Amino acid sequence: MGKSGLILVFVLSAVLTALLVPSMEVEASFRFYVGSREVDLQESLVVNGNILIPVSVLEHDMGAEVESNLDSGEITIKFPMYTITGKTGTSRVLVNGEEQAMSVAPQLSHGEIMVPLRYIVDLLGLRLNFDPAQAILYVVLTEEMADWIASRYESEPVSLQLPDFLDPDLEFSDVSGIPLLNEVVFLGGSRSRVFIDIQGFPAYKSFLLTNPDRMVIDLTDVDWEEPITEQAIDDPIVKRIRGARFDERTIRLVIELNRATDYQINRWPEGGLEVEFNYQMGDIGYYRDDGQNPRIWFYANEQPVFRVQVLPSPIRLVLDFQNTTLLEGAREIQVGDPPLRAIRISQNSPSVARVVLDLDGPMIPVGVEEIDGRYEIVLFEGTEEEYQAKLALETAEPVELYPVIPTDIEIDDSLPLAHRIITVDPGHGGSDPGTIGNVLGVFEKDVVLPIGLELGRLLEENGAIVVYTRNEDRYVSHFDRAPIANMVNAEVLISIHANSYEGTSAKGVETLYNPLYLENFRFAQTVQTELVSHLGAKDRGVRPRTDLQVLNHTDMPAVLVEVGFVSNPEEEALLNDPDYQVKIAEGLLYGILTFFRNYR
Amino acid sequence: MTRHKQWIAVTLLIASAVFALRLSLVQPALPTVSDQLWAVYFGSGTDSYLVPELRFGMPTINSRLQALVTGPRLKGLKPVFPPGTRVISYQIEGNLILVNFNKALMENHPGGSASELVTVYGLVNTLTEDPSLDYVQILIEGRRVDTIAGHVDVSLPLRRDESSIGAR
Ligand SMILES: [Zn+2]
Repeated sequence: MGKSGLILVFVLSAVLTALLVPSMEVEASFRFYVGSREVDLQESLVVNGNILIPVSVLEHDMGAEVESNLDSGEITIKFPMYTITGKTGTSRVLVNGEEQAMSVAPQLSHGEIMVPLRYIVDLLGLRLNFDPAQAILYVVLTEEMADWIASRYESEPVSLQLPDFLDPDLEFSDVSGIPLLNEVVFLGGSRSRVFIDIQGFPAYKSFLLTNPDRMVIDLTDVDWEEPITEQAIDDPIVKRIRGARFDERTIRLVIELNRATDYQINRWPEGGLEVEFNYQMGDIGYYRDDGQNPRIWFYANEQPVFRVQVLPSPIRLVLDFQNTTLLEGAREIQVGDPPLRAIRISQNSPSVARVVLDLDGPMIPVGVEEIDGRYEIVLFEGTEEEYQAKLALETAEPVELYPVIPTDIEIDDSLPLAHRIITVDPGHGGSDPGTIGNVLGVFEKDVVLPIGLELGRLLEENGAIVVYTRNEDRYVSHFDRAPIANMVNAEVLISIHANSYEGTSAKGVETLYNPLYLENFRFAQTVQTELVSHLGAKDRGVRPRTDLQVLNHTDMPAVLVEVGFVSNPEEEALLNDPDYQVKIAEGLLYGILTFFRNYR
Repeated sequence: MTRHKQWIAVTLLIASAVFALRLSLVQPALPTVSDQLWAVYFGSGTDSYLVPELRFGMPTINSRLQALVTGPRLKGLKPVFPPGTRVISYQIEGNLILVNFNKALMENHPGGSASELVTVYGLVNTLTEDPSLDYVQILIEGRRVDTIAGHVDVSLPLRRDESSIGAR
């Protein structure tokens, strides 16, 4: 089976094989597009592997004329080339007077007659696709059909063109045949993963057995071309993997274990099942490190994530290690090192190992370090708030904000920006390099500084009074930048950054703004337009954000301009080029000039 | 598009599982199905938006976090955490979850607002798929940090952001 179709196929086949009820229904959960247009499917059903949609969708979104009688269940659906007549409860229909069989009978649900979508789509020569990543089901129209539908609904035209996030060539395979077991592969890793390679989405049942310890997975209505070969495994948990036909309908896989341990089974999107065994947790102990910090150490094949709970009176700190099996059973360690009295360890559930610290005063876990093959949880004696306060004290550097307002300059009153105070904010700086280029290793802080200085020079040429948040390679917290602009009563703040994204393909200019004030949007829109057109760069648009440090505390319109991607090799080279930096500064200047001309 | 309807509404599957369980009392050979459909958010190809990748199984907080740490299975999607990122622990206080990461989340972060937004809201949106959670507080080795890469303010609990999802 292909990569696609997974959800529906899964839903269907799981329900089908699990229940063996001829027409078990599951409500589907996906978005639905017909050509370019999204259709709100109020109702949809999945019956025996078929998606059923209301006939009203055919009528309102696919150009059909529909006559239906809810009492008798009779329906007539007319498309330009085909007239379909049928009745709920029977899959036999007449198409242009000739008898045909639908894959599943039309049926009544919530006062609507539902028909199988696949049947209609096939009849009309269209294609039905499914994108599992986005959970979107979509009909790819033919030109004739798109024209026909468009002509029927003039107010809401439909076109052939799919939205650009949908791939017209995706394959959607229906439920086809019996899931096939290919092989069982031991993947290993710290959780001794086992992959059961099955084409399709089988129903299964799994359980642990002891004497000898083993895990069993019964796969129902799954076939194999040949029995899987027995494998001996050298692993702390998995000893041997074998499989046999258990009965007519069931293949039983047995994973023999060195010790019984809980597991998780994950379905893979392409089909197949992955078994992951619990982390194994060994000895546990306590000590104070050289800095007198209390630490809990433990042995494990990897650090399991743990859930923290602080319980009052008596004070306890509960650490629940997820997907973890204790190797050495429940026990209690008397510590007697205030505030820690004792540590209690137990298997709280098959998947959770619980470590409880009995305390006389608050204590919280802070970090985990791996030292000499064991893990150590660093604890802080105090509450969460006390810990944050301690950190704040440690890191409090004296804040020196020294915005300099140039006063001794002569300004020609006729200049477009005469006497306007503008804050130019080159991002990052000093110990914070910002993002780093993929190929040349260009630092964001070194690109945005010359752009900012050049912009400042150009602004001054136009009569503005420029205040920089930094005019050298120096660290200024992004939280301190808006206050600088506020202190000098700047009329606008422009923050200059370079962008980065995973991979090398993302590129272009983007301007971020806080949508709380209309002026921010106008400023962003203006700067974005001017910069994109001056550079000829890709326009990624303006982006409203309410969560950016620099933009959230300003008393004046402010934007954060991402002038290009250093993760894109071409743009990295451009951003590193002094001529291009000047060009960016010019683009930003034009944006500011236009903003002041139009809105100030 | 409402949050829980679209992506995890297949709770009906659970209903069918319960039904299957009941059936199995009559026909003991029948297997049970208790898988749910759930979403984990990763970065899209080039437009730096979030795309849900659907998973089957029983989603726990830990499985959601592990899915993020392990990264996408579908080709074309981008991981949201930088290499070396580990979750140390988490703590739930009502509808708020505090997630404590190791330093790699910050130290190995590539930077740039595009990738920082994907990191932050890949996490927040994936966790708030859990109907009981509305807010996420990021901690780095127990510390409330101002920011991960210099743009997004993460000093306070963050809410789900639907505007980060999907193609524009
Ligand atoms: Zn930046």
